[in-house]
Amino acid sequence: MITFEAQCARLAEVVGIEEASTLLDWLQAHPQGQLDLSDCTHIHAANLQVLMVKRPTIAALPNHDGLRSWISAALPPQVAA
Amino acid sequence: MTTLIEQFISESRELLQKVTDALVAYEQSPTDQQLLNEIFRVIHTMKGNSGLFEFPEMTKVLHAGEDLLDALRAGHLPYSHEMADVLLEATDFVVLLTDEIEQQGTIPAHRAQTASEITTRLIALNTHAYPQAAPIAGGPANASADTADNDSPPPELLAQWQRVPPAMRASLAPALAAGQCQWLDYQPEAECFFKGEDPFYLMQQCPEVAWFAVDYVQPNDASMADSVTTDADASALTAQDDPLWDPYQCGLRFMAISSAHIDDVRAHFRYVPEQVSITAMPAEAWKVAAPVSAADVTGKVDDSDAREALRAVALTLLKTQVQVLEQPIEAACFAGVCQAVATTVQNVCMAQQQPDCIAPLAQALASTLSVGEPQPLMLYVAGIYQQWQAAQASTDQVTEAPMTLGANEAEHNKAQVRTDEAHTAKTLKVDQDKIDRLMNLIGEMVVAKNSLPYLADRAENQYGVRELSREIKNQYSVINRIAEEMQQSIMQIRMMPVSFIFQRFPRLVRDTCRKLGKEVNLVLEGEFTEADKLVIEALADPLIHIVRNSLDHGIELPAVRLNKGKPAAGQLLIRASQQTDSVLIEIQDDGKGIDPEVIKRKALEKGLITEAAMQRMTDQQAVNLVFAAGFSTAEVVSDLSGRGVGMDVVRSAIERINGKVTLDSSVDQGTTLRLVLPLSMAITNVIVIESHQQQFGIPMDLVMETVRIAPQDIRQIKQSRAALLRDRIVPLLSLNQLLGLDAPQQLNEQGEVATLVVKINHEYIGLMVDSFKATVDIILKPLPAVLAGMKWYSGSALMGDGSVLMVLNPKELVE
Amino acid sequence: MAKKIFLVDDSATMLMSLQNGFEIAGFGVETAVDGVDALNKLKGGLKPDLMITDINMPNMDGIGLIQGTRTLPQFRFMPIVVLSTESQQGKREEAKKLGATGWMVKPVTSADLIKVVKQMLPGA
Repeated sequence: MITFEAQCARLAEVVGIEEASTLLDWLQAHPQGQLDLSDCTHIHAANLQVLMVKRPTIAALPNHDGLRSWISAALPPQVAA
Repeated sequence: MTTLIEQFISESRELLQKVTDALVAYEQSPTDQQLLNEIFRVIHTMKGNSGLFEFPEMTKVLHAGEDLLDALRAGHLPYSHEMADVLLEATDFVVLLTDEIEQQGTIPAHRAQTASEITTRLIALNTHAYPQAAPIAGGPANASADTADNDSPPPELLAQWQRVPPAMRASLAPALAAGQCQWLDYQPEAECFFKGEDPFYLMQQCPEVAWFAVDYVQPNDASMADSVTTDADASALTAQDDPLWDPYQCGLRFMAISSAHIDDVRAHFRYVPEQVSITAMPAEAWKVAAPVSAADVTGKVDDSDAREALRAVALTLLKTQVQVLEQPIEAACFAGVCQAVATTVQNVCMAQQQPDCIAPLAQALASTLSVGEPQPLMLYVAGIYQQWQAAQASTDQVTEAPMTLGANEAEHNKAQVRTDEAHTAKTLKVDQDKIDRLMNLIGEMVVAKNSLPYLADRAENQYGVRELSREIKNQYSVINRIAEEMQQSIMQIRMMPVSFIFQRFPRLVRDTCRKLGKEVNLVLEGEFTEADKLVIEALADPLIHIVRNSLDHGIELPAVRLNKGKPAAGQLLIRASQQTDSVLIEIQDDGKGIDPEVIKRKALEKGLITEAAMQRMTDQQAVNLVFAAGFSTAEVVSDLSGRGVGMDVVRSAIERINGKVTLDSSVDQGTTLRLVLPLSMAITNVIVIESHQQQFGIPMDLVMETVRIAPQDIRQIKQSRAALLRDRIVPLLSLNQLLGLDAPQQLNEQGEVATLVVKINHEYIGLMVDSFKATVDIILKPLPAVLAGMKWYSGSALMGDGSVLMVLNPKELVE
Repeated sequence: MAKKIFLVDDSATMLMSLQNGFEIAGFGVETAVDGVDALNKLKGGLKPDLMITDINMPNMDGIGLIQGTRTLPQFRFMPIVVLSTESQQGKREEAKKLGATGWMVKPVTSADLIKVVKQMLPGA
């Protein structure tokens, strides 16, 4: 489930595949948009590749241990632009 | 509620009947591929169902049958009569097992032998070299995994290995040295999302992952070789600026090191074997410069799924045990059933590591056995079930909140399913007992409603409220109409199509003809004609007997037929049709017919008729002699129809249900039997009375009222007695006297005599009895032939408690 | 939300067995008796999270059902598990190619299936 705010998208619990296109659209419309993954437990692979391709700023990593380690590996912190 | 096993049994019966029908039909038309597919499908379903239980004998036979049918279906084998024989035998065997499962809950041990024999024969017939099935799980070993035996890892792998942080490499060293590490490279195909896959989730659940990485390469649906050369960063960057980039084309590539067994890793990726390369990492090739640290590689065993699945099984088992105890248990099996339940629960507790449950379980079992009621054990098991279920709900952290919602949702969905069913279901299966109960209830209601007119009379005559009396009568007529309609409707529910019996005939005719070496075309017509369940049930045996007779004595051997200028194959027509208030069943064969002269001679020999009678007899009368008791024309008593049972038995069986049999026959043209049967069994409402410690029934339609007459109201007029009832002189007759019993009628405490006022030939007669019992609905059966001379009985009825009630015929009685 | 499983099998016994197991495990269950029935229900607004279908069924078999399901946009990503027999490897591969997510070999218990389902449904 994703909640979109002005400059922040909050991903919570399980983010399903249908949401990948919404997330992509939002990231294209908000190039400076940040993501809050703290309450997220799983994102579908389609969402993962959206994040890997679009490389948005991750404001908060998931609290969920397993997902956090995967997200960290997939999206290594970038040098701040 | 239907238990799973009940569902299994009832579905099996249906399926087995279908198989039998289809097998026989397929033998007739072996080119009908659809029929063969149907047989295969049904056997396949049966096998699947049997696998849900511990019925290896059944599964084994069905499996062999399925294989044989599959080979037939593929056109590898031609169908033969031998195959039909064995397949039918196998079907019969499964029917037998189904019966035993229903009656005993299990398959007797000695069936294993038969199961093996039949299986062997099925396999022997399957001469086509049937290709062996591939391994179930794990899928075929894929090519890239073959490098497991290769000591030097491919260069690409070595390059990726550099990505593993040095600390990690060091900590992996012991596992690597032991050869316990698998290198995983998983690149999902581009279209994988459209197959419901979530490669990320699959990857996360991979067992014992020590290290992992994920790249965005590019959507790839070609071979793996291309992908590994793709520069991951470049791909992601290209995609980043592509406004048409499609998030639903998977371009991910996962890599990981797992310390799980290679087979387990393969099993995990069994649905996508061609997209994963799993390589055992050979120890020597991974020497690391850094000294091996003491860091232990502890296998991160993630078995929560397995534990949860086991918990689910445990809960299912417990629930089943509670259901077992909820069912009525026969006294003879009670101890055994309870013991079995307790043992199962004990095993479940041990498997779930809950030894604390064992002692109270034993107590519950002991008290159940001592009181002879299942409740103590049932309550205890239900208690564990609820406790565990609650525990399971709360241990699941992620879905803790939804769990409670989940229960509601499940309920809701269940309700939804039921509503859906209500919309779509065309037929409803109802337990026969329930319909019988409905029959009994409507019977009671009819009797109860009959008291209303008496109430109306009393309202008017005794209390003088005519208005109320009229209203009661009005209400009565409404209730009466509804009750009659209800009775009609319930009778309708009991109607069954004759196909219930007819469906046995194709098989019966086939088997009999195979045995006799005859050829017969069976034609069935009017299978959907309906009659009451009792009529249909009573019809089965006589009809089978008639059909056997036709095959055995009627239709000739092919050679004989050809000699007579008839086609080699005989024809047997069985036709049912509905008449106004009866069902007509005709059984017609084109066999040798019955020779009246032979019959006459036989009857004379057996002393059934006199010489003079024989002379006068018409041919039609003569052929009907076959219905005479003890008559059998068979020169040789075959094992088919000649079990000492003749047509006389058929006749009496049909007459018992108020039907009639007639026979037409002409030599070499064939024989036609006509059975006329009532649509429904006559339900007679009788009042049960007692006289001289015996109970009798008297049809209610003759009974005008029941009264108790005080001795002073009885007038002695010459030899006879009479009483003045409602300003009418009613002659009184003692039932004991009429029946020739030497005993006076018993009087009640007030010295009154119970009297039934019956109307016979427009006259009122008081029939004095000892006491009135109840009124009941019965199905009146004519008396057996030996008693047929006792005309003062109109018949007998089997009562609910198994006793026989003799029903009097007052008309004959008073004459 | 409890995950909703859609069971499609022509055997009432199989349906009952699996439905029972899934419901005990906290899943919602909908059922259909063949491919035609299942497709009608899917087109009629049923929205399961995952579908489990037998291969051999009258009217429309599992293969036909998978094809039909994948043409419905709302079900293009839904996981589908196929129930087959060990001798049906060809059918399994065909099903996979047409859009099945995985398969189980009959005889199958609901516990085995639940395990597979949980591997396909995050949050189940």
